[in-house]
Amino acid sequence: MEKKLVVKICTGTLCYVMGGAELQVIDEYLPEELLDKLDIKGAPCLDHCNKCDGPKAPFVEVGDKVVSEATVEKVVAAIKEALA
Amino acid sequence: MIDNDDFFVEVDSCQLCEAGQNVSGDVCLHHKTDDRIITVLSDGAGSGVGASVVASVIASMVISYARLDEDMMRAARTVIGTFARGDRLSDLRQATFTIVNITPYDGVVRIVEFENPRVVVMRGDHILDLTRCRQPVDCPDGSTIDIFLTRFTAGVEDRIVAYTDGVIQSGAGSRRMPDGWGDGGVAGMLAQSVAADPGISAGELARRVVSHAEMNDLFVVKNDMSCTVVYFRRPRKVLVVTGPPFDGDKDAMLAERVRSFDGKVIVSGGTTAQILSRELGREVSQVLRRDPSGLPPESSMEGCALVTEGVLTLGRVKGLLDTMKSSRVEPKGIDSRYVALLLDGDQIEFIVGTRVNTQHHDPNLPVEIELRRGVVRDIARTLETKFMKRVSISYI
Repeated sequence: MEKKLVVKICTGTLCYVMGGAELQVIDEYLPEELLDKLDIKGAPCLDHCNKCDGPKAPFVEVGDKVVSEATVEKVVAAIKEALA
Repeated sequence: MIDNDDFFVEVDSCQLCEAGQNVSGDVCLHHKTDDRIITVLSDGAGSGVGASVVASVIASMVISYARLDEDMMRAARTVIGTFARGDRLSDLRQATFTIVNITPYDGVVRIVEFENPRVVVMRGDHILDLTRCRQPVDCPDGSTIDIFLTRFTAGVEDRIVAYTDGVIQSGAGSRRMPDGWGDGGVAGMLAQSVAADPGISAGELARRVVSHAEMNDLFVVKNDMSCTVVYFRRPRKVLVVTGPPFDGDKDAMLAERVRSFDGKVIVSGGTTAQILSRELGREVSQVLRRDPSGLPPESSMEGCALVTEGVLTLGRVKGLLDTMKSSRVEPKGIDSRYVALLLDGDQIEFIVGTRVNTQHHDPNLPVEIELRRGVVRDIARTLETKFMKRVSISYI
C-alpha cells in the first residue's frame, strides 16, 4: 500500500487565533486525487511557536517540511511540491 | 467525625412555576461557608410575583442569619415574628419554609420546618423515620404557632429531600389520585429512584421529583412546585491541568500527578497535552472537525476524560458557568461538555502551569489570550460560590 503524505495542522491557541481555524477544513480545498494520497491530522501543539524570534504561526507540517504563517494556498502548494 | 476529604455535600434544586405565571412563588436558596451549609426552601402563599417576593424575603432573611453565624431557630423565630403581625390566622400563612442546616465537619444536620410538607430523610433507598420535636413560637399578637425541629447525624449515602405543597398536591382531582400525589407517593418514588440508581445526583433526583409531579398534573402545572435535594456522598474528583510547568524539571511531577489521580482528568492546553503525552508515553491524537462551539477541536489521550485547547476554551467555560441559571447543561460543544464534566465533580483541583509563551504577548493578539491564571481563578470562584464545589488551585 502506498505510504500517504502526513499533513499535521496545529490547533494550539496561537495557531488557531492566527488563522489555523480555516486550515482545519483544508480538505475541502483539495482535489479528490490529492486527498487519496494524504493523511491529514490535527495536532494540539507542534511546539514551533515556543521558539523565540522564530517563524510565525500558524504552523502546518507537510511531511518533513514546516510551513509557517500557513494559509490554505501555502499548504496546498507545499503538498503539491512534496508529492511532485 | 466525618473526614472532610472523603465526604461531600451536594445540594441542588429543581422548580416549575404554575402554568400561566412567569415567576415561581417558591424560592430555593443555598449558602455555603467553610463550616456550614444552609439551604432554604420557602413557598409564598398563592403564586406569581407577590408570592415570589414574600418567599424571596424569607429565604434571604434566613441566609443573612446564616452569614452572621446565628442559630437557625433564632432565624425561624424572626421570620415568623416578621410575617405574623396580623391578628388573623391566615396572616401567619403568608409563606411556609424549610431550613436545612448542615455542619460538614461532624455531619450534624438540623432541619427546621414550618408548614411545608415533611422533609424526607433517606439512608440509601431506605426512608428514615426520625423524631421531630415540636417547638412552639410566640407570635407578636400573643398567639403561638408550631415549628418542627429534626436533628440527626448524616452518613455517606444519606439524602435529604424537601419539597413544596405543589409536589404533593399534583394530580389532585384526577381519577388516579383524587387527593393528589401525597407524601406517600413522593416517598415511594424516591425509594424506587434511589434503588434503581444508587448514585443518582441531587440535581437529577430533584428533577425527577418535579417532572413526576408535572406529569401528575398532565403537564399543566397547577401550583408552583419545587424540590431541593441534599446528598451526602463520597466526593467525585476532577483534575484540570492547564499550562506547561514553569520549570521543565517539573514535567515528570505533573505527569505523575495525572497518572495517579483517582478521578476524571481534563487537560487544557496543547503544549500541556504534548508534555503529558511525552512523559506518560501515551499518544495524543486529534480528529479535525468543526466543533459547534467554534473552539479548536478536542484531542484524545488514554486516561483523560477531555483534552482541549487552553485559554480560549477556558474563557468560554468561564462565560458559560457565569451565565448558567441551573446546574444542567446540554453537552453539545466542547465548552458545554467541559462544563458538564466540572459540574459532575465535587472536588475540583486545578494545576496551573505558569510558563508563558512569549508569542502570546504579541500586541496584535486579543488580550484574553494570556490570562490563564485569571480565568482559572474566576472559574474556581464561580464553581465554589455558585455551584458549591470544593475547589483548589496550585501553580507549578
